[in-house]
Order: sequence, then structure tokens, then C-alpha cells
Amino acid sequence: MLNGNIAYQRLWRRITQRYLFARSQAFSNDAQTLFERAPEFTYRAIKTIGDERRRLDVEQLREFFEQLLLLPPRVLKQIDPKPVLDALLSLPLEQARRWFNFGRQRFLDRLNAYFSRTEETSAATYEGLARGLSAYANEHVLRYYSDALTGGGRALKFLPDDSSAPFNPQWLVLPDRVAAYPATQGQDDDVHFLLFKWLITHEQSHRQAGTYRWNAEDDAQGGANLSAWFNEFADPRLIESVFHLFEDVRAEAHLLRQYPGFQAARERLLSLEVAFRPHPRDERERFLEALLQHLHWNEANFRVPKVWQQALKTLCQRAVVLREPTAKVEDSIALAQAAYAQLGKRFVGPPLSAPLCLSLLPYEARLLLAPPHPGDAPPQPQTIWMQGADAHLEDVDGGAEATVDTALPAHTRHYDEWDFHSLQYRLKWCALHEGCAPRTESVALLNRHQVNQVRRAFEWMAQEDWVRQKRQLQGDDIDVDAWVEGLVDRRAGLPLPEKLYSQQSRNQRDLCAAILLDQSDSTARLTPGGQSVIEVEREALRYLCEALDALHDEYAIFSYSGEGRTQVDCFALKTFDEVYGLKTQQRLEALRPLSQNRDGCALRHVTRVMLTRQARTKLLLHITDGRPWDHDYTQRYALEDAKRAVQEAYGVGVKVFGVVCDPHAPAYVKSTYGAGRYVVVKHLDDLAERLLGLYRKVTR
Amino acid sequence: MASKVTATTTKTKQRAPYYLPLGNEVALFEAAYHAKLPVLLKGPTGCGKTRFVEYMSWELGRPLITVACNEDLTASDLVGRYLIIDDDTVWQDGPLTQGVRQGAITYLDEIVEARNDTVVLIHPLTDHRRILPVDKLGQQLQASNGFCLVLSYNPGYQSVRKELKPSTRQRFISIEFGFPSPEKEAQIMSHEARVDYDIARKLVYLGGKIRNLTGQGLEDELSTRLLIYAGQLMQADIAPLVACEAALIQPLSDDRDVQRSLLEVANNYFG
Repeated sequence: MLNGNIAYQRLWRRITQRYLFARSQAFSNDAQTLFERAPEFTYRAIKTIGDERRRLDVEQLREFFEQLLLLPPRVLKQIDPKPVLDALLSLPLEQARRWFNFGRQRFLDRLNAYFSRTEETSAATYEGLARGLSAYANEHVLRYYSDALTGGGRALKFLPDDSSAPFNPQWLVLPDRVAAYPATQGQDDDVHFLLFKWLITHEQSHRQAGTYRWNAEDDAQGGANLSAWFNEFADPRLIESVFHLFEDVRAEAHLLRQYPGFQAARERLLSLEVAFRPHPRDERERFLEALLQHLHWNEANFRVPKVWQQALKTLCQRAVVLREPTAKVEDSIALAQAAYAQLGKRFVGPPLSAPLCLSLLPYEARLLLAPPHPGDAPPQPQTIWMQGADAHLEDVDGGAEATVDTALPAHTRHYDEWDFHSLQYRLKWCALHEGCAPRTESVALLNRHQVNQVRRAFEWMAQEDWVRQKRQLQGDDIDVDAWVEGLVDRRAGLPLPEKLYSQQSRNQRDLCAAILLDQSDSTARLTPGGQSVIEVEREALRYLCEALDALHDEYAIFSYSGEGRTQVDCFALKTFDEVYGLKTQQRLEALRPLSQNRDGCALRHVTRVMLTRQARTKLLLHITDGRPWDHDYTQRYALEDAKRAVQEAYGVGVKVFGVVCDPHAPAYVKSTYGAGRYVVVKHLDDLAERLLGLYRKVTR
Repeated sequence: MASKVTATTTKTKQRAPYYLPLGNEVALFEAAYHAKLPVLLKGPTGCGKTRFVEYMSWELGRPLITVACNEDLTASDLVGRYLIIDDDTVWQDGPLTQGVRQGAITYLDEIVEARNDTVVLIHPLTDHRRILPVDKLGQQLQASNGFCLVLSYNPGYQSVRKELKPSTRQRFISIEFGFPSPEKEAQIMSHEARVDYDIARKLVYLGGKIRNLTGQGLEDELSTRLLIYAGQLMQADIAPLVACEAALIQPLSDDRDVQRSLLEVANNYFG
């Protein structure tokens, strides 16, 4: 790196020494490429980093070089790296990235002025990004809050306000950042958090009040029905805006009936919102804005022509019905039609190209929350997941090559499968090929501090198993209770008991655990944290291995996938007799999404393996991210077979516990594993923590 | 010698303990009692199992002996032992023996906490023989007519090392308890905590939202007992949000994010 300049080489070494070698690789390659393109600029950049190196972390450095690499060499010659670095240090990474992108797209010829924030637009953009509240900063609280309100039926999704959300009734979409109101003496975070809370609660009220259930059994169909109805009008976006104006009133009344404590929060938001309403662009928007303000504040914050007043009064009087508990979405529809007719009589204008901001919510949030417009052709969630899968597979192809432990022989075993239609087994129906999992050369480093914490916690748990056993034939001390009781018994004419000692010994856990991981292709889907499910699972398993190693529990790890009943593959990532070490880590690292998951067969196989162990308690942790699914193995047939396999395991003393990494908590889980014998992990980014807690709990 | 058994004996009370039936559990228990069948009560912590047994003891006019099981509980703790009193050795009945002799309803609470060798002791009492072997006395006690053995068990305990063995479970008729419907839980709340029905209802709705997080940040389900505590604090003029935090949120989780989210939900009702 930086050939020809010893002073800079030394400086570079000092910078990289701050990080572990593997982590510094994250930015070193980009730095090298940048040096090859623009050596002079790179020297300057490194000098700047050297001054700030104690404040920079790896992610910021990686972003720094990635952003600079996106610029042409001629532009690099002109810019000062200091403001670029300052932006990274002062803005959250995501916001900094947006600010860079905006500058690159709009101000490529004047980038130095843009980065120095001497451009008015640049300063305003920067200011907008720097204030407000990021949803990610409060992600856990918001998710728990939403789950508490909805029962976990909907996943929160955070999207930038300049993107559009594909409509999915299972999602509750929020802007990833709100900065609706200016700072109010250090309380802006409170207000913005309240706004997030309002968005979740308000949207939940819409769903509960049946906004998206018009003439439909489910939200998706109801949303489509509404869209179709909007399209029957000459100006679909206008009727949509007016409908939401009234429907928000109904949903808000529902919200306040359900959560009376929200009144104070609502008033606080309203008092802020009234000063920040958007300026109407024409008479029609002015009329609608006046209607909105009359409905929420009982008056408008601007003068309303006298000729409108009667019409506004009539509409507001009719809207009173919306606040009644008996109000339905049909009432909002009727009022929207009446208002639309009024607008048609009074104003002439071209059809709207987008819905108006007739909501108390920030405009961008309203758009994100709105149902789809016909013709938007929203992608199905499965499609999105598949896109994620493809992207991931490309990574895999380009990634480190995997090797296979050829020393271990592969076996094929046949297992029965339960056919619930005929209520009998299909004998030797499935062929399972067992083998050892492939390995990668390199292994990602875990956070050493966290590893140590996990090991300490579980070593402590292991120590808790040391107990003083009483009433023993031999021991290191006299059991005073037994001795006194024995003496009393002897006085009563009974013989002195023999078990009079106590012994400090380890309370034998006498437990063996097998972890069975579903490696199907659906594990390629991305979690909110940006990792794929399988990546999250393998990191969680690494931590679990550290814990079990500290606990000295006997354990094995298997993964499975396959393609059809004759090709069920089950891989041993760690056998019971193997010691946890580099090989296991390399096999875990090589875990990739494969194909289908024929759960029943894999469960039967691991149950069989566990029966060879001597431990009194046998635990099988089945980690899966969804339903069993394979060729001719779907729906109820697959569920019934998996359930049967779990029952068979119980019948031979193997206790199966399900860890279901599916945010939508499917109803079948309870039936498959039984009450209290499963856990649904909705926030996959917490999987490691949940898995460790669960293991501690089930084996205590 | 320190006793490791916590047993309480309750004589039949003059006034009926408050219990609001949730289904057919009263009729089932009565039928089991008259047929001399042992009863297993299944349900989460704080859902009213113990109160139900108290109520049935009053209803049937039998004394109630309650034993809180733990892993140090020995057979002697349940059956009895000799004690030295005034230079003499005197046999002292354990709670199980007392129950068998008196014809009491004998309630072993959280039976999974007891060691397996202790649990086996109850087996002869649970079949047609209804006997209790007392080895130290060389006797086999025949259970009196009014004797009824009741066990409680929390299936959501989620520990593979502490489960009730099938050979034990199959000796009992089982009555499953869940949390009451919101209307009934509000009735229970307003009676037990002596709060307005409106406050009771808000607390119950809040409880429902908190229970949505069971298994999702909360390990255990919120009990009716904790809801009653919250109501009692409010009744003692503690501010509602403070009461909710002390009685509903802090006992359930140490996770700051979970605590904050639950406080926000409580704010929706009592803000």
C-alpha cells in the first residue's frame, strides 16, 4: 500500500493497527484502488484520516473509501477530503450516504462547494438529515410496541420517504426517519418518537376499524376494492384524498375510544402540526385544507371565503357520525362522494397526479401507509425474497470456495412418512443422505467481548449445577439433618439409617442436545438488519456453540435440505463426539441456503441418532424459518407428517423444541410442537440472544 | 432441624373465598371429589389455580392443606418424622399424612419442582387403593373419605429437565386453566383490587396488549395476580402509570426496550 512514501506507509499502519487485521480489510482494498486511481488525493485523504483516526470506526472508513471510489478521478483532484469525513462523523451512516448520493447526482461539477456546505441546498439537505429521529435508533422499542398492539400479526418495515412501499397487509410501513417538526428545546426526539408511535397506533386503528375491509374478508382485497372504486371517478387521486380525509377522522375516533390515554399525545401533535400545514396551491386545495382543519381544530388557520362556509359547515356536521362507535367505512365513502360533488360544483381543474396531503400525518408517511393504486403491480413478498435469494447466491458464487470432509463416509437411510389421508405410514418412503457439511477456509470473527460474556454466563450456569447432595452413603461431610433424624428414629426404636453424609458434587445435567437447522432456500430472505436469515442463524449458532462448550453439555448440530423424497440431505456440522473448534466453525461458515425442507424425515433421522446416546434427557432443538415444503410435501400433508415425527420423538424420550424464525407466527406451530414447546422468533436480529436464553431456560 | 416444607392448613372459612367460575371447572372438581379421583390443575402462574382450590375446599366443606413444592422436599417432609419433645420421641405427621387422616383437600403446588423420588410417593394415593405407606411407623394409612389430592402444574414452564412424568400425569383428571375473558377478568379485578370497573377494564385491556409480547421479549405471561396488584396500588392513590410500571412492567422484564415499549402502551390507557 502506498508504495514510495514511507511516511504515509507508517501513518497507514497506525490507522489499520487500530482494527483487527480482518476488519481493516474492509476498507484497505478500496483504499488501495483509490490510491491507484488518484495517488495525490489518497495521500491527502490518509493524512485527514490520521488526524481523526481515534474517532472513526471501521464502517465509517469503509463508507469513506466506497463513496470516494464512486467519484471520477478528475473530481477527486478538486475536493477536500476533510468535509467528507466530517459528514461521516456527524451524520448517521445511512443519512451520510444519502447526503453523498444527493451531491453526486446533482452537484458533480461543484462537489467541493457541496461537501463544504457553502451551497444553500447542500446546507439545507444536511440540516434536514442531521435532525429528526431515525426509526432504527428506536427499532426495538417500536417493534415491541407494535407487537404489543397488534399481537405480532404485522411486521414493521422502515423505508426511506423517497421510496414506495409494495402493499402488503402483513406489513406496517414507517418512514425510516421523521423530522417533521423543528427542534423544541431539546425535546424534538420526544416529539418525533411520539410521531412514530402515532403512526403505528393510527395505522393499527385503520386496520381494526376496517378501512381496508370494504366489501372484503381481508385487507389485501379490501384495499384493491377501494382502489377500484377510486378509479370509477374522473379524478381518482382527488376522491382518494377526500376519502382518506374522512376515514382518518373515523380511525382517529376509534383510536381514542380504545386508547383514551392518547388524547394528550394527540393534542400535543396537533398543536405542533397546525403551524406546519403545507400551503395550498390553488382554491381546490384551499377548500380541502380548510375542511381538514375544521374537522380537527374546529377552525382553519387562514381566512375562509364566506361562500364556502355553509358547505364546510354541512360537511363537518355530517362528519360527526364518523366519531360514533357504529360508524363504518361506508360512512366515509358517502361523505367523500358528497365532498367530491361539492368540489366538482365549485372548482375546475386538471385531475391530480398524486393524492393530496390531507392528513395529520407527515405527507411522506401518509403515502407510505396508503394502499396501492391499481396498476402499481405490487411485487409479492415471495418475489422480493427470491430477489434477495438470487443476490445472495451470487455472493456465494463469488465467495470463498467450500471444501468437503471426504474422510467421513456418506450413508443413505430410508425413513417412513406419515400419510394423514390414509392414516398410515408410507414405508421407507424417504431416502436421507447423511454426510458431513462442507467447510470454508476462512471464518468470520465473532465479537470477542460478546463471546467472553456468553462463555462467562454459561460457565456460571455450569457452576450453579454444583450442589450439596444430602443423605448419601458416603460423603465429605455429615448430613446434620439426616443425623439428627436418625438419632431420633433410634430413640424411637428404629435402626439408625445408613445415609448420613452429604457430598458436594456436580448435579449431573445428564443431557444431550441436537440442533437441527432448516437450510432451505427461504433462509436466503433478508432480515430487517440487512443480513440473510441463514447468516443470522449461523452467527447465533456460533454463540450457542460457545455457550454449550462452556457448559460442557454433549451436543451435535445438523442441517438439512433436499429435493424430493429420494434426496433429503442431512449434514453433520458437529457430531456428538467432535470437539467444538475450527472445523465446526468452518462448516457453520459454509452454511448456505439450499433447496426444500422435508422436516419429518430430518426429524426422524436426528431422533434416531439421539437414541444412540446414553443421556437421560435428550433435547432436539429444531430451528426452522417456515413451513415444511418439498415436492409432493406441502400444506397439511407436510404439517401432519412433521407433527407425527415430533410425536414419535416424544414417544422414545426425545423432547423436541421448535425455534420458528418466521415473523408471522403461523398458527400451525402450536399443533406441530405442542403448547409451551416452541418459540416464535419474530425479530431475527435477536436470534442469538433468544437462542441462548431459550437453551438456558429449557435445560435449567 | 429446620423444616424445608412450607405447608399451610386452612380450616373451612365462614365466608366463601371470591372465585368467579370461568367454565365447567367447579362441576368437574365436584364430580372428581365425589368419585375420589385425584385432580391435576394445569395453567400459567397467577391464573387462579390456588384460589380455585381454596374455593372448592370451602364449597365442599373440607379443610385445605397446601404444600409449596421445592427440590429439597423429601419424603419425610411430606409423610412425617419423629421429633424429640421433652426427652421423648414423638411422631409428627407430615402434611400429606395429615391430609390423609383428616380427609382434607391436600394441594401440592408446583409439583414439578419436587424431586421425582418424592413424587413417586403419591402414586399409591392416586389409584383405587388410596393408601399412604408410612415406613417409619410400619403402617399403610387408608385415606379418609374426604381426602382429595390436588396437584398444580404449569405446562408453559418450558424445561425439559422439569416435566411431570407421563406415569404421574396419567393418574389424575386434568382441569386446564387459562386467563379469563376480558369481561370476567375485569370483574375479578374490580372485586379483588376494589377499583372502578372502568379502571379494571383499562387494566385488563392493557394486560391483553402486554400478553401479546409473551415469547417476544417477555418470557412469562402476565398474570391476573399482577394486574390485581396494579389495581391495588392505584386504589392506594399511586399514580396509574407508576403503578403499571411497578406492578406490570418491572416484574416482567429487565430489558430496557421492552420496558419502554410497555410503558408507551400503558400510556395509551392511563396517559
